[in-house]
This record gives sequence, C-alpha cells and structure tokens, in this order.
Amino acid sequence: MTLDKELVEALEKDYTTAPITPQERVMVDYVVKLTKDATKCWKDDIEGLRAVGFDDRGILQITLVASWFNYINRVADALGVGRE
Amino acid sequence: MVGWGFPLQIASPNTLWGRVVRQCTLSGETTGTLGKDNLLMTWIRTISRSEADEKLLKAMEGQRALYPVEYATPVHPDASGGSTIVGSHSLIPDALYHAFATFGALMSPELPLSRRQHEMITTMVSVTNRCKY
Repeated sequence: MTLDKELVEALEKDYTTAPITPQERVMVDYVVKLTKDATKCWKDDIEGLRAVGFDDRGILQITLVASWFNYINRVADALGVGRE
Repeated sequence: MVGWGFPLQIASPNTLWGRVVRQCTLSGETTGTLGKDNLLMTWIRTISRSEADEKLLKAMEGQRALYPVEYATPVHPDASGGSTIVGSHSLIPDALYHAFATFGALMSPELPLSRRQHEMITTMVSVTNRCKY
C-alpha cells in the first residue's frame, strides 16, 4: 500500500472528513454507493464522475476495481481468509 | 475481508493473506504444511505449489506476471511468504488465473487511475464491507 497511514486511518474513520480532493471525494462516494447497493447507482452518478474530470475509461476502471475488490472481500470472508 | 494487502492494507491479492493448510506462494515458491497449532488456513482445501500440476502452476505464474512490482510482497504473508487469497482459488485453476489476471490488468499504468486512486478505492470497499482483509 502506498497511501500514508494517516490518510488510511482518516478514510476508515470517516471518509467524508478525510483530506482528499473534490475529485477523489466524488470517486469515493461512488465506490461506497456501489459497494452498499449498486442498484442505487444512477446516471447522475456517472455524470458526477465526468463533471470532476473522469472520462468513461476512468469511470469503467473505477467500477471494475471496486467490483473486483468486492469479489475478493466476499471470497475472503466466506472462506476464512484473514479471519480468526 | 482482505487486503491486497489492502484496506486495511491494499495492495494486491498477493498480499491478501489468510490461513491455509498449505500456503500457495504467488512467487511460485513451495508452500508448506503448517503445524496444527499455527495453521494459517482457509476453510477449504487448497493446493500448494509443490503439489500443483502443470495447469495450476501455469495459472499461478501467469496471473502473477501481471501484478505491479510494488504489490509483489504480501502485507500479511503466510509462513511461506505466499498469498492465501490466491491459494484459496487453487482447486479451480482457470478461475484463479482469470480472477487475478483481471486485477493485474486493472492495475496497468496505461489506464487512467493512479496508484493512490486504486488504493483509495480498495480501502473504501473493505471499510464499507467491514472486511478485515
């Protein structure tokens, strides 16, 4: 991981107050929404990502990275990886 | 939950560790069977590199080749230094390869997102899922 420890801790505690850029905030809002319930994601979310500078390839990458990591989280939790 | 070394240690599946009877090392090194008192194991059987057939070896090596260098070292290595999350897929080599090769492809520096953004995304996914991995 290359993020500094303080930033990771801030994201874990409350990402809405973490020292991230406005573009990163929009990205993280989308990632959290996608993770909680992707059916809540709408075209407006995509437009919001475009509005802060992400092109469609970037939006696809955000979506795929977040979705892939959700997959890994499910596998790890279900099979006991990293669990006591 | 895991971290690719993420979230709580983002990084790569290579750094997602767990507990397996036989740890598969992403580095392709032999994994050993651990003692009962300190087993690092998934809750299903896994196949170590030393016991892997040609197809599994090819899958393990093929996916690893796509990983960013900075994520090569597990954040939570098992006794052999391998990745438990990758090893957890070892009974289905094709799934192992395609699952982790996808991740490697998504980390390409030729794509729009920066490493900082990758890690921010994976951190927030694990935090939201309350996954310790």
